[in-house]
Amino acid sequence: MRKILIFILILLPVLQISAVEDTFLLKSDETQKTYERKAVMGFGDIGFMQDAVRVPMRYCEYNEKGEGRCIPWTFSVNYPLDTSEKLKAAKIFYQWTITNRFDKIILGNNVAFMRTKGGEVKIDLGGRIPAFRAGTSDRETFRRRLEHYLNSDVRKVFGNLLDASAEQRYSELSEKEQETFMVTKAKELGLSAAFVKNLLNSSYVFAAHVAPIGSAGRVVRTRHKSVTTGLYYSSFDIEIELSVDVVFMIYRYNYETKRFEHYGDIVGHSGGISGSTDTALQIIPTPKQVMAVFNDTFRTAIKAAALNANYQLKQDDNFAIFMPVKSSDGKKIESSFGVMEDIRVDHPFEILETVDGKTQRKGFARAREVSLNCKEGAVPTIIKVTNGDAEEGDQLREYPWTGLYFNFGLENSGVAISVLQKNSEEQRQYGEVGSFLIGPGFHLGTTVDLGYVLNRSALSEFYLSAFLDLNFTPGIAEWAPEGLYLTQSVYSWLGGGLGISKRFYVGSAGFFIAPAIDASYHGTLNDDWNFQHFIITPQIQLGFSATPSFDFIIKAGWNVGFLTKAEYEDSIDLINDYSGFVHGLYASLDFNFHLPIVSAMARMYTPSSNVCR
Amino acid sequence: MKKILMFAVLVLCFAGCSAPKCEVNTQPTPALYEATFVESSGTGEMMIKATGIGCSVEEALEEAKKTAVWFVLEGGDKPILKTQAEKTRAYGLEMQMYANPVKYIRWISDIKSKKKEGGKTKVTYLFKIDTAMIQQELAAAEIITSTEDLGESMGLPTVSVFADKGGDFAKTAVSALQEYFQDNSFEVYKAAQGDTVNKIVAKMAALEGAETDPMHDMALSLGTDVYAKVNYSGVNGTAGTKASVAVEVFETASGKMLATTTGFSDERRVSDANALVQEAVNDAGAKVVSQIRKEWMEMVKKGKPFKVAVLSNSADGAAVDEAVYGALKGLSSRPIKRQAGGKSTFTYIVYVKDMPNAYELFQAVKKAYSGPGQLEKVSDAGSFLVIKAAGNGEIELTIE
Repeated sequence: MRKILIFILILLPVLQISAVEDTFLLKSDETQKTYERKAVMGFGDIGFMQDAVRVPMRYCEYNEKGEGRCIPWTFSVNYPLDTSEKLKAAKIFYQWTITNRFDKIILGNNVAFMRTKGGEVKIDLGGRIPAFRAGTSDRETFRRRLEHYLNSDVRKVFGNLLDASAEQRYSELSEKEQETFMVTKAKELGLSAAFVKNLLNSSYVFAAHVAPIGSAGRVVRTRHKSVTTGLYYSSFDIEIELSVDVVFMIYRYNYETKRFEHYGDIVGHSGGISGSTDTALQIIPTPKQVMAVFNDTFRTAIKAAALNANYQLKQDDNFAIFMPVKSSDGKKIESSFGVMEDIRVDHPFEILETVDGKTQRKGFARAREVSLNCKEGAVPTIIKVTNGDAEEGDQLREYPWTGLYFNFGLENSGVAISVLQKNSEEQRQYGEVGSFLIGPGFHLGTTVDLGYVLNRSALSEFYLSAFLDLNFTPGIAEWAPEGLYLTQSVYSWLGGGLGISKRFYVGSAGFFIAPAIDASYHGTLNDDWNFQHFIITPQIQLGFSATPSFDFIIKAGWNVGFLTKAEYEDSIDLINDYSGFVHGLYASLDFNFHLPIVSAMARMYTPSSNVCR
Repeated sequence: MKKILMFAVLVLCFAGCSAPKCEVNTQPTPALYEATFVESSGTGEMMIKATGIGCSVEEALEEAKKTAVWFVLEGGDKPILKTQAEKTRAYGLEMQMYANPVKYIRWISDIKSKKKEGGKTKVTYLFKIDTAMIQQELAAAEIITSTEDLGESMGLPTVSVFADKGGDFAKTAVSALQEYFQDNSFEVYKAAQGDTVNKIVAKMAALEGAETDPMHDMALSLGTDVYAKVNYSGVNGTAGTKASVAVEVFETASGKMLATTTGFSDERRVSDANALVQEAVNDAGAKVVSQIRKEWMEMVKKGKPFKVAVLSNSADGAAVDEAVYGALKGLSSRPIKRQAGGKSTFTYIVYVKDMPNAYELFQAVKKAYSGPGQLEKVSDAGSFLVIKAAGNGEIELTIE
């Protein structure tokens, strides 16, 4: 019996050692997808369809009251796009599209570089590779020349560089064959082909071609009256408006075929960008000044188009940041991704989970403190949940965002302007009854997250707003010897201002409270009365951020300010008939809608941190 | 008002009642049996990819740990508990292991998958399980026999390993495989540099006439029960090199093949392919050790093979042959294979049960021997016994 037992037991499986049969068993599935750095090559040049921009001009004349008109001019101004300007445009465009999250491939004269997260790999080309000249051509010609260049001159270099850099890039992968036999036992860490192929096939070329540039211009002649001398003089300004669409062509290197294959196109839109000499000069601006305006506007347009392309690139799962939630108390998540993945302050993320085979969104979170992850072991990025909750194993996906909103609000902006009650011509006192209000109205504007746009943690959740108000007053109070009365006319007020708020999220349901202050200037639009006042509005805002693309906010505050003008029929100054101090209750219901095209706001955006470079 | 309140209560109750209630697994056994073998990264360690299900991630993780331990015990194609009888005996201990799976887990990866299905959370992790500890506990509980016990009672074969083809990489493979056999409690005999085939073996090989395998002769000289031949080859793929190591294992006495297998490395990019060789040997080693144990123990059950060479002279040869053959026949229930038979020298392959080595075989044969003269031992090494006997005169094969 013992022998039988021993025989049976002897057949028991003994310890067996074997290599990983399938390396992908070690990898996470799609529910735990993690961004892996892609290698990208850009060019020093971008393609254009034109060597100059012909801007049709209009001529406008305004008097000292701002009244005037514009007429189309019969001529256009031809703005040359010289080579240096095109190179600057390329630099701006690639700065905003080939960001820190990519390993950068640079072709030099005799060497090629790969700048990875933690180092640089260089290979000798053994000869000069001619640089790609983007030139001036239509898009399809540009594309043909690009593909020819990539698949003849570059592909071999590309393959060699990818080979040479594979080990460096492997060491920087977020998910490796950790704790496997090869890593812990073998004399040398060998790169698994599965991982290498993944690296080699995650290499791209980004190229850009600028579509025909939309343009319009104005020469503005404004008549002014000197405050000191009382004499009239004129100023001339040149205004340029451009809109640029950049076709962003993406090619992927296929390591097996050793060829570049077209991955896709993105069209980056700048929106309308305007610029002006705004010199208030008494002479006509010089051509140099005009060219400077054009160039500045053009660069801003390129930057705006690049920002839009960057936004669209993040819509592609292949280029967006994904990360699993490794540990979370439900409200705070730590991540090793940081500045080297172009994570910005207030960067929004979706919290995703897979339920019954479908990916579902369960909330949102935002980066608050961004890791300076130049090297391993850096302090992690702190991401806080604003909506919903997160648990270990959930997934964070970068939410494509520009930090810019279009704002629309319905408001009742109460501004009581007190009439001085006159008991006699000499004796005046403020009359309570004699106040009138600016009433209901609406405002339109833009709101921008300064933390995200300027990428400063000190400005996290600070929102800057610029707005235009239109309000209505059912009537204004007037004084007559018979006493005070209220006119029956409806007066409309137009104003504009700036506001700043700081949001504090309360819990994780998306609600926030924000102390805020606005400063605005308003004036009547009616012909007979001309009231103007300046107010500041301290307020408290209660809001709900449904998604990073949509908020609604209830605002309540108090307007305080002073009257700056009270005129009747353009000449009768009645400022002394009214109290200088104005005030009133302010309430508003606002809606914020995310804007993917940033237009002129592009000027505000600061590039991603280069602290690691 | 009362109606409104009742309605509100009903709505709340409905909402509460309709929410699916997650049921916790109260059983000690895993709630889910989804696991995959990934690799064995040490002699007493396995990496398992296991999935658990629960009402929360924490609970699902605990379940995944149990699943990983279950896989080592009962799952896959080579579980520790192989028979129903073992499983029945191990039940109590198995439940204790499920109650405290952390004891056997050396490493847990980051989460590899998380899904919600039917209101429950499924998570997958990689675990390194201390299989040695599990085996020791099972052996201590006399549910299985430990490797040491097996070795003591039955005797694991002694092994020698030789490089056949593949140059220096094959030598690396030999070292790795020797290390491997040692880790698995085999006694490994290593031919030192400059070692030559024993003169007796060489003479016997010459007498047998047929073309012999020098590695077989060397194994006989070293006295190992089995020997392994290793071939290395490497293939360059698109992204790296893939190494393959072929291992053939023979029973030394009879030359019978015990095991053959090929191990592969993953395709990798390395500057030194020796790392790949080691990886490929690990892959082959797992398979070959299992085969050797199985075949060897089957062989031992039927009788351990010995090669016996008898030296005599032409005068007494026939009588000695007859007497030795008769003695061997009395020891073995299986037919005796005569390999070479002349007038004065004879070789046999004989299978003898419960005979641990050639020296004990000599004693048994000597005891049963009834031929001319006395049996004397010339040499014994492993499974190879050389004896001489003659009534009158000298033996005719001179061993210098």
